[in-house]
Amino acid sequence: MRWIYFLIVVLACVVVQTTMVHLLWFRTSLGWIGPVFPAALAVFVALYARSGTDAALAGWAVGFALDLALSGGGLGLSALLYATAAAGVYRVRGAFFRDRPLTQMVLVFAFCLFVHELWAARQVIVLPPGGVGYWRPAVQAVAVSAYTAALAPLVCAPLKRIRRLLIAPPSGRDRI
Amino acid sequence: MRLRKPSKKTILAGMMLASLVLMLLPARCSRWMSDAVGPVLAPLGHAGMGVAFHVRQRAGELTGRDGSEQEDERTALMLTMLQERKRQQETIAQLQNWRRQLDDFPCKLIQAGVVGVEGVPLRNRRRLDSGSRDGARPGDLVTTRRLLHPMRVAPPKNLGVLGRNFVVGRIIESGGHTATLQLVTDPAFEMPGRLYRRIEPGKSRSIYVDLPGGGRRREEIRYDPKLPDPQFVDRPVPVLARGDGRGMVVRQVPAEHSIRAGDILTTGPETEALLPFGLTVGKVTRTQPEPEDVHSVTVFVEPLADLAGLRQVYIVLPIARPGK
Repeated sequence: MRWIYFLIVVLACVVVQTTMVHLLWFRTSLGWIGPVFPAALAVFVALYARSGTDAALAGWAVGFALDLALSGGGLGLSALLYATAAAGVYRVRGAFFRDRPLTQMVLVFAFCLFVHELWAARQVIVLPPGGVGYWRPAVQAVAVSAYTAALAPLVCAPLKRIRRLLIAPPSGRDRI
Repeated sequence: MRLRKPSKKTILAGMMLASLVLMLLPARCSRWMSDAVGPVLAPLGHAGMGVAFHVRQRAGELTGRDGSEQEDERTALMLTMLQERKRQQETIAQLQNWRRQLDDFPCKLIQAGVVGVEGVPLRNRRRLDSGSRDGARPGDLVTTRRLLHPMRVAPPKNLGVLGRNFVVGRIIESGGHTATLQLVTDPAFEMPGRLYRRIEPGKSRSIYVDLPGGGRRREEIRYDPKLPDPQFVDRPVPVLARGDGRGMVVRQVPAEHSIRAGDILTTGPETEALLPFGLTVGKVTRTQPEPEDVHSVTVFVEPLADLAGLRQVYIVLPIARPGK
């Protein structure tokens, strides 16, 4: 991994996510639904990383950047969840054609579902009693995951063009 | 002896452990990290929010749905409501009393800009570019910052500004350069408030008044055609309002108060030290009977502020803080 370039891309992705992406949000009876582009970035890196450790480290960096961009208690939760989910994507990527948009959508959906369901569960635990409960945020997390998955190919396409800038190509026997 | 460079697995294990520790620590222990990146994120956030703001404006102009009609309606409602309050004898006496004691109301309004939105739409929070260096503290209320044509009768400066703006939330964290705004629609938001019952033209509202010797009396408040519209019952209903991710909800409101769509939610006791009346938060959209209590209803409130397009705000800072 070329970490300096990767961290610049992470910074850009998080800034875009916290400033412009809310234009794509829409309001439903569940609450606001919107895509989470850093998740697509983490999945993309996990699909092409040279090792599971690189994938997990990259996922951790993306999650931690998201944690720093806003606030509330639980700084570090997104980092843990992203690292774990990215490692999981790395483990299963052999079963998929990673250049296919459908693969990207399925994996991003599973990634987001894992991360956001656990994140929503944690929020419910820390909220004061008498709040919205767990089921509505859980269904909202499914909708967020689906929306992110639908737009994942749009995120992965430009990332594929700069893939060699982020991930050093394998050499010799590592070539696939 | 040369130290060996740690392997990537060791680094990953260390970072995961650090994340776990940070997660378990109270927010104040890890707040400095988020605050440290504020000077980097704030200017980038300003630029990004500026782009988003202009895109939203252009999209509104192209589609003809720039919300100007809603804005006009809200403006008219607020101006009329402010004029109505001033006409009431008690409010005028309070205003005169305040004016004798102070040149203006005991609060300072700090301008702030929204530089970031929650990364995941499961929470309703914003990042502001004013922090503790500007005086912002957790618990401070935040309102919109809208400039309107001034009225002929000029109220005190802060009253005039606050009376024309809507509460959007509260500061929950404040670093040196930035602060986190929890919107009124955030599921963790909670606020004591007051519901003012609107009297529609040609109609009346019934209220129950407690008698000194015990018992209650039913009073009917009729619409007065001599006074401007809208009119409200002068005895608000104290409530506890919470965010629910979409809007606000008030539970366990006694059904006898007959809360209806169009009634107004304002802040409650926390602004009594600042203003003789509350700051406007939202409007009731519908009520629904409580499933487990036939004598209570759940009231759903829509914030009057445009939270999706929020860009500029005021942080209301009490001038004399407790203990100072």
